[in-house]
Amino acid sequence: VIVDPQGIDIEGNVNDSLNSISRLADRLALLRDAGESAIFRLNLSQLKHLGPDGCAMLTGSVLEARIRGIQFDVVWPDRAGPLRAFIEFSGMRHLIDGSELPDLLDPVNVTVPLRRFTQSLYSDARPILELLARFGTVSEDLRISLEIAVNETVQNIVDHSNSRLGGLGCARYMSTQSELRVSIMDWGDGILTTLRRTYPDTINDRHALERVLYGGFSAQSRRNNLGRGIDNLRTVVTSALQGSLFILTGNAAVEAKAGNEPRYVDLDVPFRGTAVCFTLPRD
Amino acid sequence: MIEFNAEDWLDPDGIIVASGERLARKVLPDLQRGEEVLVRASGLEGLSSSYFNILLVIIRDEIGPAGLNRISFEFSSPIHRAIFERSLSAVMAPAVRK
Repeated sequence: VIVDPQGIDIEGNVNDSLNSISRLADRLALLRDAGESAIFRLNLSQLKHLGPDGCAMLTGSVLEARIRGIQFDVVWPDRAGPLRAFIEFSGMRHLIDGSELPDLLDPVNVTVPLRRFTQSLYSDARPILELLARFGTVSEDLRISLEIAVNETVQNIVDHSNSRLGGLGCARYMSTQSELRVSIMDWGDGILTTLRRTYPDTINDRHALERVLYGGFSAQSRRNNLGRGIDNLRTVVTSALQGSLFILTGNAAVEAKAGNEPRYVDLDVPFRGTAVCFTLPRD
Repeated sequence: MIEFNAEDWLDPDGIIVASGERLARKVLPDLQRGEEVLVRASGLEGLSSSYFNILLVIIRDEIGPAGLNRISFEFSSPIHRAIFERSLSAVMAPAVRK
């Protein structure tokens, strides 16, 4: 029996904006309801740019679907250049098709490769700090804020997500903009499902985001949960360091920037899981 | 006043919550005897709230709120202190909000 694979074409620029990532989640939604015998042809040959947020979302979506028995034929970009280098150094190709991971100590590498995790370790932010240190002194405020942001996000996923894949994260230093981008995601229950266990009156995904963004609402999945994690993440990223972040879960997303009220967005197609993406200025 | 360096009870490559539990078990006997305890937390600035949450919840549950009144913390970073104080507030007055 020959089964024609379903096609998913990812084209153009997938940058690290909420709009771009929600569009990517939309394109990948086909995978969400696919049966276990499904075969997909993921065509990346016309991709022009991919940031760490898109890299984590694409890779995690493929790995999660594979756990459910879905098969993939991936068409990679064939032109040499920054995109192909990023796909290699980010570990995306390594995780998806098992190709060898390149030498991460190569001076052209500005990426902390994708890593799956199932525990929150004190050392989780260390590779990102080592990457930053290659570009100059890392201030104490940046170090502390980065560690807290990474540790709070990873801990949240470990405690609440119920994600079969676990979590997946990567980071990239953008030397032109002098900023660090970090993406940490899961393909689990999402914040609404998790929070409703303790707060059944949580109306929808947007309401769930509103509740966790300023703290005081915890799913209490574990004894160490007191509803402060996402609030701490928001505070250190936007207030302490004047950075920005967005969180995408289910049918909603929120974008928070220093000095602005959070902007909530309703999404037509849900992202099954939670994506946390933040940007920190270097100086 | 009995002093502890939190760093001595932290596994730098280990699970954050496990380190919080380890420190809690270390300070509990002194708190249970009614001693005042000071924890020096410098060097651990990047810890998440879960570290403090589990530490403070164990003390609260084993001794009661009085145990939390006998333990104090020393920080070298205002960001770190702010994270701790949010955890302390949550442990002292668990949120019941709608």
